[in-house]
Amino acid sequence: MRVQRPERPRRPVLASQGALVASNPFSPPATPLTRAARLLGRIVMFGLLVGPASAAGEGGRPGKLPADLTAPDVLTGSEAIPAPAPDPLRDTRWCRLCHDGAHLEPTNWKKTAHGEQVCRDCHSGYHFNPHLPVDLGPEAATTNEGATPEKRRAAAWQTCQPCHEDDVPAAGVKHGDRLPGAEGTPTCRDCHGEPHEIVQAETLSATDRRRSMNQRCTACHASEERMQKGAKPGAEVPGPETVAAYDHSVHGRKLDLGSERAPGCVDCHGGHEHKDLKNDGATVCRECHSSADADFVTLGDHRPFTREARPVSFFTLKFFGWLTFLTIFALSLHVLLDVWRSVRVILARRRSETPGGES
Amino acid sequence: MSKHAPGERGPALDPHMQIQRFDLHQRLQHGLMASSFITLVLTGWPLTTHGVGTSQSLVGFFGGMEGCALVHRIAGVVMLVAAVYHLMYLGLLARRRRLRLTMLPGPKDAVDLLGNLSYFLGKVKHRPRFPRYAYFEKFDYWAVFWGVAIMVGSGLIRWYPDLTTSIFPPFVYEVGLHAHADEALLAALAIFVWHFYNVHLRPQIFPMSWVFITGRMSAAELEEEHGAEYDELVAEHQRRQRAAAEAGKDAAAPKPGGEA
Repeated sequence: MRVQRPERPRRPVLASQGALVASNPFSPPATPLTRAARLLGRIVMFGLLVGPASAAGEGGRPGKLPADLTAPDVLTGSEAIPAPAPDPLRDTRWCRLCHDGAHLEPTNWKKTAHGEQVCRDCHSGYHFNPHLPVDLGPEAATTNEGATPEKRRAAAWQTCQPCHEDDVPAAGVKHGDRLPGAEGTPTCRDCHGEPHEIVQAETLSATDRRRSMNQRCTACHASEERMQKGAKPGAEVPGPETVAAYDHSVHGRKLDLGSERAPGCVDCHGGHEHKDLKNDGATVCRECHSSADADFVTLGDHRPFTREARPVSFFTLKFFGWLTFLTIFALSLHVLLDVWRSVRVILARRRSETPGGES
Repeated sequence: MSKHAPGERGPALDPHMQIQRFDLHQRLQHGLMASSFITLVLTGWPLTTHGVGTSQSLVGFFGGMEGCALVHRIAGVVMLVAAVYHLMYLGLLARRRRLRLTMLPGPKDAVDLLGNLSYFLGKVKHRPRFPRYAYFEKFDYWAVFWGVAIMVGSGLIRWYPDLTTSIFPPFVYEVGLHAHADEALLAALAIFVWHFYNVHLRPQIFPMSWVFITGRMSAAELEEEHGAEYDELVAEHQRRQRAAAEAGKDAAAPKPGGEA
């Protein structure tokens, strides 16, 4: 979903401290000593900023707001943090003391679908600041390249699920019946994009939305290797030729040319919901083609135009291929012979008309 | 090129005399067919070669994919109207017993083809004396006849795919799908290479033969392009002159005019 914003260098965000430091080109390599020194520096900085105000907190949390936290938060747009139960950790300035990155700039963040959320809404578990540079579990794993696939998948939906509770992976939900933990199956972000860059679907045109979603589907469905990896045991896996057949279809061609009406993958196959195209595809087709019947569904079943899969198409294409080749060959030959003769006649006439020539 | 000795074939017609070859209906039919054909090629081409940048800009020119499809369908209806117009025109001529079957292929066309090829290869000095419609013009006509039948039929199949499968078995749609794109390629190549060469680019008539606009051709051009028809006109001209002379009237020859 990185459609609207310019490219920028990607940096690991809210990862473990080690990864964050390593990504800074101006930092020397992190040794235990330098890590300890940085941590000490942060504690000192934190102490200078909030120390006097947060002396008497309950359960280790800061109890009183520092003076500058009563000012409007540019990131969330909230005018002031409610005084009775102040939570300085909803103020993203604390996070941005250490964590930087272009997408954390308030103007950029506001444009994303999660512009109203703050860091802790997803990256839960940080109850004091600065937090220790340790692997804090699933949250960290979602952005940590080194995390195991199982950990990533589990974390992904545990992070999203509290808000998106209707879209939890479960039996009957596309790709969801095997989550979390099944190897090769996609997590939320595999289909919906990098969480910090997701934009509201409404901000995209119908064409861009479908194109971008198609890309996410084909990232796996056009790859034999990935499909084999994620296949259910004993399941029949549609190969990459399925995607190729869509690209060649009228739907695929029209979307490629910018149609606002041609369907993308999820228009027929469903987003989270499973659509039973095998047994009741006509219902889906009738959303656009009002007289569609069971025969009609077979036209769009992504079979390639091969001799085995679609013999009628195969031989129609062969027939017209040869007809066109032979006809145009004969016509071109006729034209070329005509040109040849005409040029010779013109040259002969010119020779005879040239003064001094053999008139 | 070929200068026939007029003496052998009787007195020639005035070379500047204008001879009406096509009436207004025929020229209108051609105009409708030509304009709809070019529009159909421009709006249909992008879908066939969708990956090419030209296709994207062509689609943009017609106001996006939806606009392109709309223009294509309007032009398709215009072509269908032109085809029906032509068939009704033929039917009306037949009812008035004025339909001349000059467009039907015959053995002379095979002889003319061989004669023309011999001329191309320099074996003979003159082009064959073609009849009212030379073999390559008959080819054009019947190619369009077949082409329009295929294109309109398969176009309607593609326009209403769900109706097609509810009436016919699904393979009919498959045939229509490919026939439309492939026959379009054949037709476009035939028109832009073959027809445009014969009526525009041929050195003898470059930049074009005006007969498709005016419907007229001079007697000199007619003798050059349609020698056999010219000979018939001359023969008819002489016959009328003789008849007029026998009737003792002035030799005010009626204008010979081509019909249909």
